[in-house]
Amino acid sequence: MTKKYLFLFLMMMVSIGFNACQDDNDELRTTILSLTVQSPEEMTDFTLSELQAVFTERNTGEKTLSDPFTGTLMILLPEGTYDIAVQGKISYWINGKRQTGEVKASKESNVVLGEKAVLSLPLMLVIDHTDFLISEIFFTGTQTPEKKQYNGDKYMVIYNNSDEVLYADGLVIGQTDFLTVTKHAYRPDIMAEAVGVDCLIQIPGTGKEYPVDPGKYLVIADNAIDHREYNPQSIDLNKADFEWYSTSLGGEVDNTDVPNMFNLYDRMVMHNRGFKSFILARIPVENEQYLKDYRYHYDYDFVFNGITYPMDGDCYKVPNEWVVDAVNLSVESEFQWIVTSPALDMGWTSCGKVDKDPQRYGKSVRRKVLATNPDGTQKLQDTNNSSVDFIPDATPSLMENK
Amino acid sequence: MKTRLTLDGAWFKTEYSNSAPYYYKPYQLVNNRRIEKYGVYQQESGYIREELNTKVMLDTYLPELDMEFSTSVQCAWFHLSQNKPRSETPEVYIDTDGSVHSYTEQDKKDMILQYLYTPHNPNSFRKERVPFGMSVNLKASKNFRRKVRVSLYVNKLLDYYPVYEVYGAKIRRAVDPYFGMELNFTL
Repeated sequence: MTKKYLFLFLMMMVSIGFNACQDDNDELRTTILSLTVQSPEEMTDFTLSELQAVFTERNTGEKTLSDPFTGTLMILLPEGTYDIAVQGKISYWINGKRQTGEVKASKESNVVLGEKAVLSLPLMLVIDHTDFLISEIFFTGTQTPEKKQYNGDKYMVIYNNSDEVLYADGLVIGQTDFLTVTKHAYRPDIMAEAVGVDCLIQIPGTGKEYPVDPGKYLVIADNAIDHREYNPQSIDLNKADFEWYSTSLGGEVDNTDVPNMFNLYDRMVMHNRGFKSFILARIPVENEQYLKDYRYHYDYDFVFNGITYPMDGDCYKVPNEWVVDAVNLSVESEFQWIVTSPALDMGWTSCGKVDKDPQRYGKSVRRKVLATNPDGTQKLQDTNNSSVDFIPDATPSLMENK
Repeated sequence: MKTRLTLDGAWFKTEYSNSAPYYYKPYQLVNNRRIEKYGVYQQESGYIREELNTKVMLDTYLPELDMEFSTSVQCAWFHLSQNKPRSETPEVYIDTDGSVHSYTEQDKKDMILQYLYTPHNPNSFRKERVPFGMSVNLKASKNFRRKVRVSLYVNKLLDYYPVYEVYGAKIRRAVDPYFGMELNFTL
């Protein structure tokens, strides 16, 4: 290394020397650099476009801009030490739909010497306008060795799919009031503007208390205890980041080491047959203001065997613009409709194939990995279509790490 | 013809109402707390039911065979039902300390007190009318030495239940005939 730096230093001195006595016949030593970009992992069907590299010479600060290229760039550069930054566009196909995004690559202090030099940089996928995502919902619970239903070990994972630190303070999780297996003409119909939720639980914090790094996640659990003590087929939720706890539910254990979610509206009781959908949202108004102004009273006529039963219900509405992510759940044999605007989610995912499917226990729905970036962080797939973005009947992540 | 004609029928009208006030406490958690307030409503329940039914029976006795044939025609002329509107707004509410307050329009906009305002589907209180329907039942009985009596009957062998509409919904009524047998011994 020392030799290399000494050599570099000498080269720089020579270069300065050249600059010092520059005249019309001066010969500037140049290198033909061949720069190749490696595509992000997991990605196969894609096209890169408008790739452009910026070479900044560390000593002179001089910037050289490349012509647009795809794949490999050949460029003539004065010898030197360069910081290289590549930026461009990528379009890729998911389920027959074209998605676009940005790619980036950067590497500091690249020594460019001699007649020819070869460099290779791995590209990072940058998805525009990304935020937190629901990356997993474990809503089915488990079964005991005696085949009895075990509740309390459900959880949800919230993932930072962006490229910056995001704060989870104040995020709310809601479960839809309507079922994906019974369709009614609800009056007033608000689905184009908002989502009706039967509960809203909120991450505490004042704004900057719960930072989440890019590619990191939060586990929000029902009961943050080691459930294996009660059911050997369950999981350890002791290390969850938050738990939803309500003093009014008998038999619940409050793990005082794990902060509780704030029960903004009612209690989270996950539908364990997967008939309800979930949203992640930010409420931009004060909680009290929201609770006051966003109640949703609806009525509908339930027609069964020719007889009409007038029904009504109450829940809260979350405007679509506030929704950060939405995931519809259902089962194949019972599905009737999705209960969010298709702008939020146009598909649905599932555990089990039929109603009350005993095969669903111990399974979750997990978002697919779109790309693993050079730093090891994963970008998850989000095309607002849970049918293609999620892996149904997946092994819960917390069972994998058991 | 030894035939007896019997006519009977009934008209019912029931009106039920409750004069005792109704107490309601919302069950939801709001802002991480239970709602600890009771709404007091007047006339929470009440309904009207009305119906008219008639029956015509023709009993023919054949003494040489010691047999009876009976035909009955049952008519349900109409059935009416209506639930009385329930009060959606409480007259007063009771606070956690037991104090009683009157419930105002302004309270419908309060974060907690709005839960005591309970609007209902207006269709719950409309009149439901089931129109005319008729069925014919047949029965044949034979006596054996006044000790044993055997009867065969078919209920609803013929019927007339026309399709009708209720608030846009077409209702088709299906009637299933019912076959049966009776055996009586006189000791």
